[in-house]
Amino acid sequence: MAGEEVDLNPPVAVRQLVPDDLLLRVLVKQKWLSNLHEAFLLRSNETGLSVFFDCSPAESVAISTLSRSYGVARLVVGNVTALQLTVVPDEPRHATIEGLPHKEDDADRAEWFASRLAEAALIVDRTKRDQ
Amino acid sequence: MAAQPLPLGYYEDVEPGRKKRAPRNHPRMPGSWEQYSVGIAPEPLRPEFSPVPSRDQNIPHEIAVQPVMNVAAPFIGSSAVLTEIDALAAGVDDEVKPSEYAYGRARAFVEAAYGQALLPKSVPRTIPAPLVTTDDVGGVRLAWRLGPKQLRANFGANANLRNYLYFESGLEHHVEDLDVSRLAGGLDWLAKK
Repeated sequence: MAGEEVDLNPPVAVRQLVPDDLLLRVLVKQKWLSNLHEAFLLRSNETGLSVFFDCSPAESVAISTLSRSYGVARLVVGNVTALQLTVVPDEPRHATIEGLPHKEDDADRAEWFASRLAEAALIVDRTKRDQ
Repeated sequence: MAAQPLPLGYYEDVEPGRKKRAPRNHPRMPGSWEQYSVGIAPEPLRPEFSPVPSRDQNIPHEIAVQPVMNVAAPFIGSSAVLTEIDALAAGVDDEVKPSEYAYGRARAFVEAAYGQALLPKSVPRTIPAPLVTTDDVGGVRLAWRLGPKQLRANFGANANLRNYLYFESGLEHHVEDLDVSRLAGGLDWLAKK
């Protein structure tokens, strides 16, 4: 209709997460399989940890578009929020874990959170994938 | 002079934001870390862990090497760690190459600290092999775990990034600035029962 603007990118509905929801963290280094805490340290350009939900481990890798991965770890939302961290869904199957400090800013808390998240996580997939 | 063990303090709470540094009873070694990367004698191999069979021809070969077979948790010397650090620098598929800065410091610190920590002592100690990896900007990270104890060394990729040592045991945890003496003390603390 004349005069009306059409939004070509309408917002996609993103559901709220509940404590029992499962989060998947794609493991991009082989060494993370035996030293899982390394998977929960923020990279220098990140503000939150990237996680997936409402999908299988294989789907999470595919959505991530990472060229290579070595497996997937699973976390329960409630275990993450129990650490006073927040899980913010930003896409239908993607969320970020917010509240983690960078190791450059607060090494003690960054390492401590990495240990706690590693304890709470379970490796559910050890498949090496190239895509 | 070997560094003294690093006791972790007794915390009243576990909130990570409220770190309480344990009293340090190991005075920092004078001088800079570079001093410890030279003039350190090769780390001594305790006889029972020596990979070299005895040269005593009167001792049957099988008997001479037998103690090695009985070692449940092998002692890992600095050479194995240095080899891993070198491998990172040579290029590993899923790892960022370490910066020259981090690589040089990690290598020198490990060589010197293992030399200090593994000086012969009356009680045999075991240091497990660490994780050797890099961060996303080329810093080097080493992580040791022995039972409930965790020790992590972070070598920043450049002089503007942090070098630190993270200690964790149960609910206790803290961070210290990284130098050779503290790394040696950390290894000592890790190995101590």
